[in-house]
Amino acid sequence: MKRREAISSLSVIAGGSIILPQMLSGCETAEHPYALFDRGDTELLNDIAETIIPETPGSPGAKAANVGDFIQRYVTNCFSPVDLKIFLDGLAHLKAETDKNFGKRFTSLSPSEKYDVVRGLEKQRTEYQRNAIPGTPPHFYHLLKSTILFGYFTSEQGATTALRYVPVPGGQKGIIPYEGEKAWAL
Amino acid sequence: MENTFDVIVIGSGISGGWAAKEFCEKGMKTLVLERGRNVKHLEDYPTALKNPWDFENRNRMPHQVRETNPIVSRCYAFGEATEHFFLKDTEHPYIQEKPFDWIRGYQVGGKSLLWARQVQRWSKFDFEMPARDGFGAEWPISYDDLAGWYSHVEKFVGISGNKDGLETLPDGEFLPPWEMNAVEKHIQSAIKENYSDRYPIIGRCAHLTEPKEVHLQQGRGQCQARSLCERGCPFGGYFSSNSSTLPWAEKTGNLTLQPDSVVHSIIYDNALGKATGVRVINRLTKETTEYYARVIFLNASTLNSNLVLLNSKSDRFPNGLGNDSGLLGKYMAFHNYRGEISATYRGYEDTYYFGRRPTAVMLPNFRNVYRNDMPFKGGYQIHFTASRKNWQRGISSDQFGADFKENISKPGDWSIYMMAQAETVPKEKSHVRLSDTEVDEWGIPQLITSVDYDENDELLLQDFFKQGAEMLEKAGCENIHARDTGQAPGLDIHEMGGVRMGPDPKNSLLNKWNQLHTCNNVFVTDGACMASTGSHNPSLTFMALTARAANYAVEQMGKGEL
Repeated sequence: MKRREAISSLSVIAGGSIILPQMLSGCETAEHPYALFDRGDTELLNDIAETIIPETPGSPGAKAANVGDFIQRYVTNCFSPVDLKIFLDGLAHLKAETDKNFGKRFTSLSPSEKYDVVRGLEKQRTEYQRNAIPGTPPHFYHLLKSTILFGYFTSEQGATTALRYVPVPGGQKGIIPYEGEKAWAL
Repeated sequence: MENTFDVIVIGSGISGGWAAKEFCEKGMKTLVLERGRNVKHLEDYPTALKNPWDFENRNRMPHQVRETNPIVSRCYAFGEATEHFFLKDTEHPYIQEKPFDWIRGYQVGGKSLLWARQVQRWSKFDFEMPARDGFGAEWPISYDDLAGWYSHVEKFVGISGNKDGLETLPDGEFLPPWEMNAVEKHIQSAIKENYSDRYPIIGRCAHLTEPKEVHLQQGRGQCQARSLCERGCPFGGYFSSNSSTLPWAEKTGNLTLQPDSVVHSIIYDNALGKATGVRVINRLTKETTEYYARVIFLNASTLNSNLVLLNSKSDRFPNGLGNDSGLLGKYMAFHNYRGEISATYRGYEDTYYFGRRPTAVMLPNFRNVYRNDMPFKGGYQIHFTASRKNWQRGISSDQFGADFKENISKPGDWSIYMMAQAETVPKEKSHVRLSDTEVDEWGIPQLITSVDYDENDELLLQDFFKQGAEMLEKAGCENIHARDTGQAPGLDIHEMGGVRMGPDPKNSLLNKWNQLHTCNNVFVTDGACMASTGSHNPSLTFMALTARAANYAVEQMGKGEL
């Protein structure tokens, strides 16, 4: 599906109300595999994800795990139309806000600026959830963060370095001492 | 004669596989008909060794698939790793007069590839309670009739368990048990201390913790505690028809296994007064063929066994084979799985566990055991597990960054999950029947399901919520939250009945040997034969009933009675 068609069918699904100019820019030339996203979204999502799950000693971060690529695939394939619209709208809004507040893209921000943007998103989610009643749709950042964590901890890099991945335990022990080791991946 | 066998077994799932094994071992030429494709042990487990990151969506199903197949999508085991073993909703439609999630596995091995593998013996209370307390029919057999067959099945299947000495959950032939973790042991002790009638045990499951000679002969090995069972086990660590009974039957040279064979009906011969064979439609070519045998075992899964009998109409049996009583398809019941309780526990932070255990802690039924002293009928078994929280706790945290990552990479506090598996009352109005107007792809009438909860289920559920929460509270748990999942009947995948056993042909379909009262060379030994649901897992009982009935049939065939 071409991106314009994809967006147009999405608009129908979601009630025809979304306008995402950022998504349309440059679409004619892009060979990006995810029709609902921009070519630059992989780097953007990787950078946000790295801010939340950075590289730490002995463990690559979300960017090395290419969580940005996974997010676009997963959101496209598995999100409900409602969540998909929230996600795409939220991402577009994030880009616009970053442009407005910093005069540059998220990916060009300094580490402390990136931190501030994510801190701001956390705050927005907290406020949004404070007023939520059952049935309230999820906040954009809630969807983003859950997908980043899911994508990272089920990636090869995340499962084998941030966690302990033992595909074939060979047996079971009900009680073993715990002294601060990483959790089992499965 | 071509197409003629000693025995035809309809269905290759957990009970059909057992029928095949018993008959083939006794020298009977046996045709096993399976409506789905072939699935060979090891060869046809394409996802068995995949890592989470090998799946396009990390084992979650695309929205489009879930939208198109809402029923199967509600099953906990349905994902990218297992979808090839589940029937999609669209592949075999049925009509839900009342909501019923019919979960199906149409392939050689059926749902034995996908089952949750918990195998508790039924106690005498499970069998006696319905008639004693007036909420169900009398079983024509007792626990004692089945005890030896439970042993027979357990030894071959390979079942891990602890000898607990409980009247409410008899011990069996066990391989070494799985272990409880620290918090589970703590809760177990607290419950034992506070209640004289409650004794939580480690669940008994069809996993080889320590294979014996008979298991090695099957080509099966030790369970590796991977807990990726529903993909098919590359070690043969758990029991399925594919890993165990079917290859065993095949080795005798007496088995003909024929996949892609949709059974249309059982052929009844008026003059002979018995069934002579079955009509089969090839799943792919739609061509019809007849097969003949002296004895027919119907093991098509509860609802499909009902469907086959309902569709087996003749001058003698215009309302379905063996249906003189008019009760065929009725008294359909299931297990109520709506009750869930979650909680947390502070402490034991210095302990963890290793390996993924394929069972839970089980608390055998403690309600209405000796007399009906509760305001509801029947009982319930409780399952619970404790585990340390994983990275998912980071989603709702407002932290992020390096410290956050380090923190959620470690095991978190303990959380507890508890659920009830509750008996339901078989009722005449809870039934399945054939549609007069809608047919499936093979021209066979679609099944209509009309099965629902009742007031008894609500009362019992409330009792579980109260008792479950109280037990967790006494164990020092916190944040105790009860939840009614609201799920439809069927999603428990413990549907039972419709062709129930009973001593009296006027109010049952099958006798104590699982023979149709009025057509004694047709046996039904899957979940359809059950006169009540008990509160403990049923698959072991299906297997024991099947082995018992098959051996009886062989005896009768030897005497020329069948």
